[in-house]
Amino acid sequence: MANITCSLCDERACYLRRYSGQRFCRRHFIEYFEKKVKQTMLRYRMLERGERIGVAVSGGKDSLSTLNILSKLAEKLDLDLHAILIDEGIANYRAATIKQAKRFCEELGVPLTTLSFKERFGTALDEAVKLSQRNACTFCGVFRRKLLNDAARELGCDKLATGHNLDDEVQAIVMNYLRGDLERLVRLGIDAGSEQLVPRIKPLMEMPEKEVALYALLSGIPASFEECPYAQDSFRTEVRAMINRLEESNPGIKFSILRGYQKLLPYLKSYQAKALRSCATCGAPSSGERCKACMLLEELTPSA
Amino acid sequence: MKVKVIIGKEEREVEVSPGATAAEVLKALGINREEVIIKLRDEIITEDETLAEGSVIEVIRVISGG
Ligand code: SF4
Ligand SMILES: [Zn+2]
Ligand SMILES: [Zn+2]
Repeated sequence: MANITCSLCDERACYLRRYSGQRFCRRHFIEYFEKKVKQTMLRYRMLERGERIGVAVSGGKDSLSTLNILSKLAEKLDLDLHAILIDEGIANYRAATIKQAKRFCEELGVPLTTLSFKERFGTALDEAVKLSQRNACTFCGVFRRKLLNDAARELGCDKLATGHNLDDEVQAIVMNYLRGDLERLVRLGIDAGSEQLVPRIKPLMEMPEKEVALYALLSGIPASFEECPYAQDSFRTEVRAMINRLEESNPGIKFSILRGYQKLLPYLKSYQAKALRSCATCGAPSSGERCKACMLLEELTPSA
Repeated sequence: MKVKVIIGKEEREVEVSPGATAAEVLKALGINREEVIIKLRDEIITEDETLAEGSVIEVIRVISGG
C-alpha cells in the first residue's frame, strides 16, 4: 500500500488542502502555513516596522501559533512583542493552559503579563456565574475584551494580536447574518481603533481551524487541546456544524463566505450611522450610554 | 474489513468495505473531516489514505471552545 506523497517532494503527505488539491508533507505544510500568514499580514497591513505588539495568549493552539509566527518575524521587523494572558478564573481548566502559555513564552523569550478577572473586577468568572443568570461566555467575552485592551494600553502597544482563525471569523459573520445583527456585522470588519481602543489584528484570519491545529501539532507548539467547561454556546455550535458540513461537500466555502462579507462591507459601512459614544462610567467606546462591561459589572455588585 | 478507531479515551471498531479510506471511516462514524486530524501509527495522514484490515487510527479533534 503506497503512501500518499507531498505535491512538492517525495515525503508522505500529512495534509490535503481540499480547496486547492495540494498535498503537503510536514516541512512543506509548515512552510506553506507560515508564508500564507505572512502574506495575510502584508495584505491587510497588519504590522509596521518597529511596532510594539501585544499578543493575546490563552494557551490554546490559535494564540500560541500566532505568537510563534510573530516571534519568527520579530527580529526582521524590529517588533517588540508582549504576550498578554487573561485569567478569567475557571477552575479545573485555566491553570493548565496558563502553564502551557508561560512555558512557551519563556521558550520564545517573550515577556508575559497576566491579568485576572478577580484582581481587576473583584470577581472570578466562576463566582460571576453563580451570582447571575447569564451564561459564562457573556461575562467572559466582554470582560476579556476589556482587560486585553486595558493591558495593551498599559503596555503601550500599537496593536493587539489575537488568535482568531478563519473558522472563528466565518462563524461570527454567519451568526450575525442569521440574527440580523447588522451593528455587529459591521463592527466585525472594521477595526480602526481609537484613542481608547488599541487596533486589533488577526494574523490567522485566513487559516482554517484544522490547518492551525495541524500547524501547532507539527511545529511542536505545546498547545492545550482542553475544552473550557463552559463551552456550550449552542448557537455557535450549531452554526459551526452547519458551516463544516457545507465545507465538507463544498471545499473552499469558508473562504467564499469571508470574501463575500468583505465585498459587502463597503456597502455596509453606510449603516454605521449609530456612531459609538463614550461610556458614561469608564469612557470606553460604547453603542449605548454605558458600555457592556460596566453594565455587567454593576449586575455583579450587590446593591447597597 | 474491520478498523479500530481511537477518539480521545474512547475506542471503537468500525466495519468498512475493503480498501476504504480514512475519510470513509470518518463518514461511517458521522465525524466531519474538517473537524479532525488523523494519525496512523503515530504519523499524521491525509484522509484519503487507504486503510487495511486491522488498521488502528487515532482521531484528534481540532475544534476548541474558549
Ligand atoms: S467557552 Fe465561554 S467561558 Fe469558556 S473561555 Fe470561552 S468564552 Fe470563556
Ligand atoms: Zn514535501
Ligand atoms: Zn464602561
